[in-house]
Amino acid sequence: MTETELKATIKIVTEYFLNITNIPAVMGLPYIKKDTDLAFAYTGLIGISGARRGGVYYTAGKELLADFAQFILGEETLDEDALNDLVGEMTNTIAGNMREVFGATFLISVPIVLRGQIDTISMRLKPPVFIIPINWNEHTSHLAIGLE
Amino acid sequence: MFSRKGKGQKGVSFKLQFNLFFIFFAVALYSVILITALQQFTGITETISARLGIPIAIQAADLIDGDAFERLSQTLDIQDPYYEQTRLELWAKKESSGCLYLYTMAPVSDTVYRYIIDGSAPIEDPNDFSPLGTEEDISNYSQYVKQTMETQTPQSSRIDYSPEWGWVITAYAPIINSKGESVGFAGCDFRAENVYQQLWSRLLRQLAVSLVFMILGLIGHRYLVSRVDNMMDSIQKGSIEIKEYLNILENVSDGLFLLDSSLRIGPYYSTSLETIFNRKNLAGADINEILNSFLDKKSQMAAEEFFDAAFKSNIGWRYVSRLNPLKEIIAYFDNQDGGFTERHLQFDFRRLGDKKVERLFVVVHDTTEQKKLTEEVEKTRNENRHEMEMLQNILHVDPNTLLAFLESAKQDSDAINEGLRSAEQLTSGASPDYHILLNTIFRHSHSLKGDAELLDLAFLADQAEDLEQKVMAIRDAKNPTGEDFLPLTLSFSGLLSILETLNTIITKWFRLSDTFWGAGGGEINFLRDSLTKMALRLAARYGKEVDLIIAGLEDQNFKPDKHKAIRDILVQLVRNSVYHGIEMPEARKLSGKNECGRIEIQASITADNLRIVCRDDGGGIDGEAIKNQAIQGGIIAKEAAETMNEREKIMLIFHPGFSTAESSDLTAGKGVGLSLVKSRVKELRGKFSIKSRKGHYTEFILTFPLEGLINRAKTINATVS
Repeated sequence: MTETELKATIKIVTEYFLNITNIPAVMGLPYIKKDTDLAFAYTGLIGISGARRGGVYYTAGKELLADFAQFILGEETLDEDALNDLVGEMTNTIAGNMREVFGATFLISVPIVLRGQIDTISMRLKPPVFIIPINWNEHTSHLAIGLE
Repeated sequence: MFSRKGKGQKGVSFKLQFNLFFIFFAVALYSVILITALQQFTGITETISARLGIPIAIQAADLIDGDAFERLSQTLDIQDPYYEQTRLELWAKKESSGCLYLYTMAPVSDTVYRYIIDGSAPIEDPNDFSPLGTEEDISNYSQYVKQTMETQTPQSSRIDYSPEWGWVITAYAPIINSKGESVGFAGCDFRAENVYQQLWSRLLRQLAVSLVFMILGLIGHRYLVSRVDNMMDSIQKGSIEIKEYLNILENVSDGLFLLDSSLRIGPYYSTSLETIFNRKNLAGADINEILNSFLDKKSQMAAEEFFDAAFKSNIGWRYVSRLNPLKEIIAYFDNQDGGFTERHLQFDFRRLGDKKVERLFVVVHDTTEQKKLTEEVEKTRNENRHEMEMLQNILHVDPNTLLAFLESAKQDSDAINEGLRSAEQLTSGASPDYHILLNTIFRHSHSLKGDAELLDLAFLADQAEDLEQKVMAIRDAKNPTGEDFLPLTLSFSGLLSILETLNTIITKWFRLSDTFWGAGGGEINFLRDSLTKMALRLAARYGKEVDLIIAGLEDQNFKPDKHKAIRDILVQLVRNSVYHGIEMPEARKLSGKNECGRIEIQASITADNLRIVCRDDGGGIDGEAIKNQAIQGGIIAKEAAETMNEREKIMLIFHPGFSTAESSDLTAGKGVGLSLVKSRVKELRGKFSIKSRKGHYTEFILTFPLEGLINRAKTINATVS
């Protein structure tokens, strides 16, 4: 995974937040994921193949999603299914933007929403997996990038 | 030949079935023609006869005065002049019209009528068989009479045959009185013989012609059978060919299909193609749409251009085929579960068509298994080569020492990663202070690098050095952001990768340690040897000459968890002495010293302490120079520095980030080494002091409490011995 690819992926996510909410999202300090690290409650996974193999996932907690829902749906109170749908929609847009940026050489999968399937996440992402904290509107979420 | 039964099959042959069917069909057809002709014949005869008879019956009825007729039918008076007069008029009419009989009747009951005026013959004629009042049962034709009487419209009967009069048809016309009531009818028996005969001969001719045609048909049947036989042979042969073709398509492992000029897959394709393309019902599917589902955009565009050229017959195939972008590709199929299935495919194309390229014959060869096997072999080979290269670089190290090194390296790397992870709280602030974090990363990286150098693991020391450079870049940046840390984390991941490989190698090869490394001489002995080698390497790197003497260490039995701290201290002190302490040979010679510098490490046990003294006969520490460097580096304010005594000035060398090196490199210049010594001494609850005389020597004196540091038994034994 090159620095350029990492930066481009992070930019896709931070710009997504900015475009939708007009509130900037700021990346925290990246670190390497350990096996014991857990994702937040809601996770969307994007598989990547082609010139690079592995995957990317975005994981967020209920508070962030509920807050974000106000901007995208105009409502805050969301049930479990709606929160999963929301993280799916966010990941889908991120995947679409990744296709725009990397599509010439990468294959970007249709994203899937995972409910606590950490094993599946670990299986899809190739180590080392970089965890990029994304801080938005006083909430922290994680972007994980694990490509060969 | 024309036998469609297989060996052992029972039942009627197809040929016999065909013959029977043909004959049955011919007979049925002829019967239908015959029946239809007869029906038509009767119908036509009746129609023609009715058209001839009805006007005569109407004219006869018109001759009758209804009221007079009613009266006559009641009186039956043959003397009534109306009777004779009308009979003659009817007779004249009958004679002029050519009908067989012309008569009138009046009802007695529904089925019995009586003759009133019969104009069929002159009165003297003996054939006058129906005089006035003669009653007749009309049951046989009462329906026509009844209909005539009730509807007051003329009717005609069906044609009827009797030996006496031949083919006869009767027309009926109502006789209506002045009150508008039907009082009887005029009947005209019309001989249909002529019409019948004419039509009959025509029918016979038609039947004869049909018969001739049927005979010709039967004659042609044999020819037809022969033709059908050939046709069936041909169909059978074609069926076998198609079956064999389909059989091949079902069983061939390659994907085979025809592609038309609209780039759609033909109706017949090999079953394997569905597996290869990971989808069903490919007939008529657009090849570009299929390719787009598993190729990246670049390859998709190349494929579209290729197909465009492939169907242009004016572009030579040799040229086009060389452009084939699908000759060897990797297809990525989205599994819809966040993963992909990869297939290695080879597409081969052939043009079909004479002048115009009508189709492309396409063969898709799936080489996934072979490729995977090759890749696996290649990967294993590369891994083994890489491991062997790395193994060569670590063979000189005692495996137990390597394991201990890896353990401490793991602690360092964990600490670095944990530092980055825990920075999440820092980043939420407006302008986070990364100073402590960067120092922590630096210290652990430096410790790891020192160990790597001690063990002569240059590849690892270089990677740690790279990490330190990244830390320094961030330290130099104004208001660093998370993005500025990306190079650092990438470099760190590189370091982790090397450690991972080392761990794999050691785990894999550890069982061979007795063979390759021998029984080993203990970690302390190895540390002693390694320090010596490291000192020589570093001295050689800077063009210096050094002699390292270590004494007393081999007698110490450090507890395993303290090895790392002791090692860090000794490594950093030796590095410091070589780089900062020992002068260049020329300088030493000029100052009357031996060109070869001397570093001594002396370990000894006192009552409750371990004492380690590290002394070099180098240039000593210049307190003033250190003070100036510290001011310049922003470590201390100028005003505060002015009040410092010599000891305080010297102690500045333990401050993180302090260095007197003119530039930083693998060994020095980052101001971490002595800072690390200080933190390790603190970890071991020790104390240190420095003695130095400018131009003559520098001596670090370290004292550690024995409790928790040394295994006592060994120490006592050592002391006794």
